[in-house]
Amino acid sequence: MTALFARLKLRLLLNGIGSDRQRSLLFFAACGFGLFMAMAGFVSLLSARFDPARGDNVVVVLFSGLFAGWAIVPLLGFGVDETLDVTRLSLLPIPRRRLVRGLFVASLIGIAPVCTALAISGAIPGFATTAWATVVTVAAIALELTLCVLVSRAMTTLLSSLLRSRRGKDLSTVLLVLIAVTIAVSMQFAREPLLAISELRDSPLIDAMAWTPPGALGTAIAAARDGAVKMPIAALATAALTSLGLVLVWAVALGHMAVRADAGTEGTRAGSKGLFPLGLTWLPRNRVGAVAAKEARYLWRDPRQRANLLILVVFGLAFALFPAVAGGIENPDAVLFAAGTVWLLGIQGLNQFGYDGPAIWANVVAGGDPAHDLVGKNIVYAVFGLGIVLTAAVILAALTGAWELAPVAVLIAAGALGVAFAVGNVVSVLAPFPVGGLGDNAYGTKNSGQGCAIAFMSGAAVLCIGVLWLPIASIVMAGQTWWRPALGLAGLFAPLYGGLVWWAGWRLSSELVRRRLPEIVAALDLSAHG
Amino acid sequence: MEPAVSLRGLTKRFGEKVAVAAIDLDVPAGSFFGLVGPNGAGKSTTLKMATGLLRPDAGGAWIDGTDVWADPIGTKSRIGVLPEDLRLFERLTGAELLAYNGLLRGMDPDTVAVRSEELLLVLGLTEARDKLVVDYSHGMRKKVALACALVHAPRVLFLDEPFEAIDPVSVRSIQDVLRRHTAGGGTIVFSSHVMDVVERLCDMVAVVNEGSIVAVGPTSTIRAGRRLEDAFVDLVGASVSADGRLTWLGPDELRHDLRPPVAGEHGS
Repeated sequence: MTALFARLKLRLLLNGIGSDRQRSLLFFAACGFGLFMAMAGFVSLLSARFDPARGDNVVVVLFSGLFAGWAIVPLLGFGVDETLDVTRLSLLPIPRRRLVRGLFVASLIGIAPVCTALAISGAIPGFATTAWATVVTVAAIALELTLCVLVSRAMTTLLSSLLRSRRGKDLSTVLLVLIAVTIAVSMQFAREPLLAISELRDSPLIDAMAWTPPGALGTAIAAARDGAVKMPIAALATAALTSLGLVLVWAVALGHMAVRADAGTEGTRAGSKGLFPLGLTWLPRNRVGAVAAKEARYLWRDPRQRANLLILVVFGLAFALFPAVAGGIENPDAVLFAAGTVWLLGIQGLNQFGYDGPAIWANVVAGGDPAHDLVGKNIVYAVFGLGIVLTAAVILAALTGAWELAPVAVLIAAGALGVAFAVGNVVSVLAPFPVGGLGDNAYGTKNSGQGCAIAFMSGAAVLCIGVLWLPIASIVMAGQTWWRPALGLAGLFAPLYGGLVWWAGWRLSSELVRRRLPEIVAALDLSAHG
Repeated sequence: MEPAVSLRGLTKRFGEKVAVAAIDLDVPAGSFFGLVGPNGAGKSTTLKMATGLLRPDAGGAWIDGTDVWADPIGTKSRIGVLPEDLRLFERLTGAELLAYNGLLRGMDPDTVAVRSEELLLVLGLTEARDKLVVDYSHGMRKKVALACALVHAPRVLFLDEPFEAIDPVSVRSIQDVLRRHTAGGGTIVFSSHVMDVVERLCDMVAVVNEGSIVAVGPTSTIRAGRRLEDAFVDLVGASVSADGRLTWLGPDELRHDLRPPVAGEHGS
């Protein structure tokens, strides 16, 4: 049965590649990129052979970093590869244990798991100097891969089943915030002295990572090389127990998913007087306004988008506030961190049609200028994003007393958003992909193993945004280091520059979107061609 | 008179499969035109290409003489579309969805409001106007989608399987609205495989099979005195008969217990 799942997954993957030239191209590009990253990981672990002191840190950071990546990246919109849709299997008489085993093995097949395995297997040449070290290293690698795959499946399955539960509407909101807060806090502050083994380390953060189950696997590898016995065994056991816990969570969530229908929102009468939500009634009553109003409604009403919204808010605020709190409040420039909260929103903007999904046909068939849709979407996300920035800036200003920097932070953020949307609009038109519905895993992409390809494209776009952000960033840095008034200048320059880049990006994406409407519909409606 | 819809050499391939093979078709203005054919015959693909949702590999489509692919904005303002799969922005309420569609088309907000209320009333959706579309039944979704397709008073309506899987009451109210539309001079092109509906409503029929039109003309001519369903089966050819096959669906076999072993199972 397990072999059957694996074969099925492989077949779906191969069929996906063969079906369409653009997808195949993206797939191979993602393979290349993944291999490159895998080799980088492999070599950095291998180098521990020659530079053990640094290698000890590398293995911890890589192991815990990969784990965090697997846990969080799917939630940020790339999705996990849901090639094997559980709901399609629910009518078959398959016991849950077999289902979990089969799906787990199927999850190991794909670009990301293979590249992860390749990267961490660098620990074998890097650390396995003795027979004992080899045993520990191989076991740790297997456990790390298991943890990574399981955490992404458990997180996404759990969150989507939470979003679907009937009671869950309000409960899930709270839980989501809690989960997001936990992740955000643990990302910043994870320090859990589980074992009293003292090691000499430079960074308190690495220290903290070393105590997480995946990080401890890294520590175990290094400790086994140095001849330790108890610590590696404890770390391996902890990781095994963690895997077991994740399997349980995943299995329970899977069970719920297979038998529960989408709860619906009966009773949540919109209670609205029209399309335009409160606070956005100033929007124009035209195509731009209609799209913006719809987006705003969806931000809250679509469980998937609401989850994203909460994650955005929590991560954004955490990103801005924690460094300031952790690093003491003496630095007034901390207020500028508020502008940094837009980075996640920038990533979200890379697939603006994703949540529209197959319903996008309505916009296409309505005629009119589809370029206006992008403006409408940009408006809502800008209002929402700048709202978070403003909140963060006010909090930070209250903490530091540097109120004069609060408007600067908001203006810089506005410019940065303009740049991000400029790139996002173009990418959204060129490579739209549907964001999974709630029929199965809300975080699943049923693109037949295209998750990595999407991530690759998004990665390239993020890089592009980063480069375009450089002019703003350099003025800010100049202001922080040698010429204070440059900060004010940055506040003036950023919106102008961001506006200009946005306009250029919008012109380009307008041309593209007008020509590519049928292609966008096809990309978002995977069932279109049977 | 210029045809309301004209298709010339419309072709679409999906990989090796030819879904639509150089279809030529003229739909007279003011007609109630049925496009019938078996599943997978190419009806939906044809309608998608005619409405600018799917780019044809060859050929073209014209609405009131305007090229759909050369002047998409001009043609789309004249048409309304009800797609088969009903992918709607379902987290909007019925009323919001109508307002959204009206404003997308650049209509005056007050006109949209007045027409929306009237459409909701006629289609029996007034009660559900403030309910999210995701909670609508299938029939209600069809009706609200039809309302969206009608709100800008299009001259040509394209309906893909408007009567599939909905209850007789909804069928009746949809039919009434459609009759009103053709009575006012509108043209309706709709695909269906519910033959008695087509027979009752359509004055013209085109039979599509394997991507080509095998017969087109007034419904009475196609029927030639028979029921439309019989004419249809004759035209597209009957499927392989089950006679003498599927013996394992007999009473003896169905009594067997086919439950898989669960206790002590081992995955391979």
